[in-house]
Amino acid sequence: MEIGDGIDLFDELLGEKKDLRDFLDYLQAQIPSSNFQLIASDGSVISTDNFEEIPPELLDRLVNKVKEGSEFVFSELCGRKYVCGIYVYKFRCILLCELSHMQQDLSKNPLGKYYLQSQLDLALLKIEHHELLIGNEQADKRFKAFEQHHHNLLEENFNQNKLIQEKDKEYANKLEIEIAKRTEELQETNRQLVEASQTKSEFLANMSHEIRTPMNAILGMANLALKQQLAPKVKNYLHIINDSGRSLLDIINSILDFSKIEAGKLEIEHTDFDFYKLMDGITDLFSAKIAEKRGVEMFVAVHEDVPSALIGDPLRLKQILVNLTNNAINFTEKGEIIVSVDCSNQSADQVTLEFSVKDTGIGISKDKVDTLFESFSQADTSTTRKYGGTGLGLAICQNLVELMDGHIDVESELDKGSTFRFTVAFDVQSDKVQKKFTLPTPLIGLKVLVVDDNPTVRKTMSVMLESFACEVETAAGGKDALELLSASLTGSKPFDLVITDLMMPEMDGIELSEKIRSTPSFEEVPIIMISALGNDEELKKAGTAAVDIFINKPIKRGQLFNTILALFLSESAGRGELDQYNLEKQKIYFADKKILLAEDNAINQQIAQEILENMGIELQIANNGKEAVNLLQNSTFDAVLMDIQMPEMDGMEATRQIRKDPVFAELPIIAMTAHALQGYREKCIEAGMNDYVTKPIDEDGLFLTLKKWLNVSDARKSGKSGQPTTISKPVKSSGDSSLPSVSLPVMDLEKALKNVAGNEELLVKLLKEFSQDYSTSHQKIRDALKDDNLEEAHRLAHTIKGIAGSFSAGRLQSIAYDLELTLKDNKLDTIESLLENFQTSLDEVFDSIAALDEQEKDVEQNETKTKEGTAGDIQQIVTDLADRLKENDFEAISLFKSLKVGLSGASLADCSASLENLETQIGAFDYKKSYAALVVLADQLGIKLS
Amino acid sequence: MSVAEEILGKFDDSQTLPHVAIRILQLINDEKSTLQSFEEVIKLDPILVTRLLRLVNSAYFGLAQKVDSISKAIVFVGMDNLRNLVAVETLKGLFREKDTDAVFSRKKVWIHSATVAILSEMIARRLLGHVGADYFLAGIVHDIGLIVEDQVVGDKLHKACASVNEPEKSFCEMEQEIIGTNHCELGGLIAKQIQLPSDVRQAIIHHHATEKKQAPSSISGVVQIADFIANNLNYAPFEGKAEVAPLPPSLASHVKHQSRYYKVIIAALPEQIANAKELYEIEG
Repeated sequence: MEIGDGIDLFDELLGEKKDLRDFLDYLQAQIPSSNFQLIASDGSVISTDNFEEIPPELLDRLVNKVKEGSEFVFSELCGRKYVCGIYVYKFRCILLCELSHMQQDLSKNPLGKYYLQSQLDLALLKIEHHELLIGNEQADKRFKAFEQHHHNLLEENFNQNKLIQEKDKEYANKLEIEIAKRTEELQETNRQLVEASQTKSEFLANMSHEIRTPMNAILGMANLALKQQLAPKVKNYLHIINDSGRSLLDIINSILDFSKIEAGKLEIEHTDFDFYKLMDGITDLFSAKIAEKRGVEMFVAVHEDVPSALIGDPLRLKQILVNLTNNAINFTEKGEIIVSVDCSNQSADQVTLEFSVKDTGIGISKDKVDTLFESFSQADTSTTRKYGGTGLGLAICQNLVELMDGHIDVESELDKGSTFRFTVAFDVQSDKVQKKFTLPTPLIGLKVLVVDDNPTVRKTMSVMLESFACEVETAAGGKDALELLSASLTGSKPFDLVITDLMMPEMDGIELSEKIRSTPSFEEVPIIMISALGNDEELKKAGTAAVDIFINKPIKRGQLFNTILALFLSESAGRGELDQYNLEKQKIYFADKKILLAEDNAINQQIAQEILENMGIELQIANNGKEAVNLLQNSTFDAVLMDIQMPEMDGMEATRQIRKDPVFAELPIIAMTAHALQGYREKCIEAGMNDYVTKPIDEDGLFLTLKKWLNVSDARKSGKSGQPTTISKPVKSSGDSSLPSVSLPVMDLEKALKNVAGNEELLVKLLKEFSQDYSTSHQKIRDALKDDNLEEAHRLAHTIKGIAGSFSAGRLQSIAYDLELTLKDNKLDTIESLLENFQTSLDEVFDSIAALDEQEKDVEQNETKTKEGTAGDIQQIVTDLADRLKENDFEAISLFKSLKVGLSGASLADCSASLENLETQIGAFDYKKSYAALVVLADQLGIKLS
Repeated sequence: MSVAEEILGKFDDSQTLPHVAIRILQLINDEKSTLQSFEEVIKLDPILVTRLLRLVNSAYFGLAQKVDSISKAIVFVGMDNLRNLVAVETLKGLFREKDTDAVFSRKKVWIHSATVAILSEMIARRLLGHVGADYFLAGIVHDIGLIVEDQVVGDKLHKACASVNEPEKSFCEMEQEIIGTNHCELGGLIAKQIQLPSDVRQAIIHHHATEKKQAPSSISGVVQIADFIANNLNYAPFEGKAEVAPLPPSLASHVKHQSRYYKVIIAALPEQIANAKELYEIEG
């Protein structure tokens, strides 16, 4: 066989020849001197080298025998050898063995077969062993391969794990980068949004300015036109223009507010304010509206525990309350609107106020309540049609309340009414003594009868009066009232005061009052009548009758309190007096005031002129800031109304220029602008302005602002209370009754004081100068007449007339005027008597001035005296002051100053209010009221007055 | 362009290797491939997924645990085996019978290829203690050239097959004469095209080389021995002794020397074939 022969090679691989040969070799080795032959089924034969061929017939016989069994078959061979055979299953061959003679007896020995079988098995095992060895070797290799595979798998999985981790890391990195990118994008977007919002709010501010300017013209002109004599139809048109214009302005303001809130630009102020005054102001706002709604009562009930001196944002609070109250009034046709304020969580420096505005109007269905505070939503779209409105009001309210850290909610039932409640926390002005409406000791327990057909009004009024320390009973109508009055006569105590509603069914307030007056023992009982504002006709009718004082609806607590106080502390005060507000509005209020108006717009000039002249103010107009500055150099003004946006020099710059001159340091400059943007007011103040009014000019607002700056003493007074004041109270005249114009006062110091913006010292100084410079003026006139210098005489008379006017020396003014006219007309025949009168009047004035001078000295002495003063001294001063006041003596002023100095060391917590009240009254030269105030003060100080 | 390249070009035009198979091969060559990337690619062919899982769970692998996902399969059998399985599944499609012909049967070639693959793996494992995945791959693809020829120049191939019994010339020489190339050369080109490992490619190219001195433990050597055994065991690609060429001297002497070992392998082959039933079966 040749190597490289593929087929043979493969045969060898497949065949068992090698195994067979090995098998025979093993057998031969095991059984010496024997020979073997294997016969395969196909007849092929393998033999050991020395195997002797067996004769064919013997072989056949043997083979046949072997095929039958599994044992060795023996057959005796002829001669020297012995043959046996067996079938080997493993090789599927017949094995023939030639045994030597020596082994012949094996056939006879039973062990012989066993021996041969064993040898055969051994040889087979050897073969098998060999195979198994190879198999084992391959198994080892396979094991190694599997181990390797396993190792590979582990490594693979480890690598996978690592890869996955890396991928995760990569992914995380990617994510981070992505997030950073997105964040940047968002920031950019946000920045753009902020910018857009800023642009929007600036746009709105500008737009509002642009709209306000023409609105100013429309409203102003409508107002002016309304003052003309016009056909009712035209007047009606004008009313509509006016009302619509105001509505439009409100809407613009709402949108502006809302956009400011949206833009987060609305800042809540934190300033001191008088809460009571604020509530009174709000109450006043609605008096006209309530007067129009005949079937609706409105009541403002501020709980007595609510402190007055608070810190917060009064304007925004007012906005909320006005909005809610307006809604209440709009949606209520019949019933009542109650605005109440209670306090919860009160501490020394903080208080949470609970406001509620309750109406008996159309109400809101439950499913609409939730969306009520959303912007641009109203309870019902039909509401918009019926009642109008932008749907912004409540959204603004909610935002404002939340900006003030409060909460707003609503409770409502359809057709029953709604109650809006909100809370706002305020800081309390801890350094200020809180206002208290409690009647002075002598009046405690004042028995009051309240007559009103509306039970809610009765109830709230009772609560209010009881908080004053009054004893209250109520009656639902005139009949009940009269019965109660009669009953009180026999009871513990008769009624001290009757408060009655004007409009009542069956018996109205006037009828009741008249009946009371005709009831024995009640002819003199004070009666306060509550009436709606603007009910002029009835007011006139009632004014002549039995009623002492009228009070407008809705009732203001301070007003009611002061009215009662005034009624009882000054027996003659108040009867038939009108509300202070109406009085103040009279033309003469700002008489002799001169104002510089800096305004470029001709229409605005006209409007302002009309309004200001209606107030009795003399006006000069500058067309721009530069003109205003120049005009101020040439003439004297009491105040400047300064438009901000003007050509050449704007209001801000003009103000700065004016303030540069120390002469004008105190000159009130009031900004006048349509700019409603936050911070504008601060800018105005920074530029040196004192105050700020918005355009379109609101007559009442302007009036109040001017009042504040033009009349310090009065402002101070009205700051304390809304008490009615007698404006013109003549100083007791020392004059001769035979003199002409005797009805005129020698000098109205109160007025004179107003004319110098309440500066008493200045007044005294001016008066002294006057007495020095003009003491011989009558002589000078006579001299001039002697010299035929009519012109000089006329000039002198004119000058004195002017000065007398500014000192409110009415009599002197009047006579000087007559004198002036006479001199002008050259009617010298009556001149002598006039000159005499003139001299007398002049002397009177000089006397008064001299008296004032004395007082000044006294004051100085008193001041030094009281500085080391004791309680006894104070008692002395109080007693003296009481005496002076009784006598209407000027010296009262200096005495009061001494008293104030004397008390300054003492703890004023209890009496500061009454001291302030006294100061106000003395400052107003109202000695009767001053006396009443002194009584209260003395009582608090424990001093008894005779 | 050589004849082989021309034929391969035509083959590519008529028959494309499945996209999935190409992607798998790329993934295997990429060290950064993860289980997920394999799974993502294989998932694209749901039928392939089923077949792979059936193969993995067959007696051939004898896994104790049931494998129900590709990533799990990779964990248990390894990436190389997975590659082989993908190759098997992909190639099976190519070996589907075009037309029945007495001389040449794709099915026969397939059974031959599978047998050579299994034998190669057995030799690698039993004699070399090697995992044998690449040996298996080389075995399963070594005659891919025949399929290409059948597809493109079928008539010529059949002619070559029919005339193999001419004693002077080997089958490869006949191919060369009639077709202008041979299936070894063609297979080498394909291996290059699909980026098979270079020793696998060598094995394809040289599995009929009678003169070349082959190391018995190289993939080429093992595949050639397995091819030799399979042909002799009637697992030849086609009728007649066409493929039964003698081993080169180096390998022949090795086999002769280790004949006992090979005998054991041959004895164990039927059982392995039975286990690998799933591998052999060709639907259709």
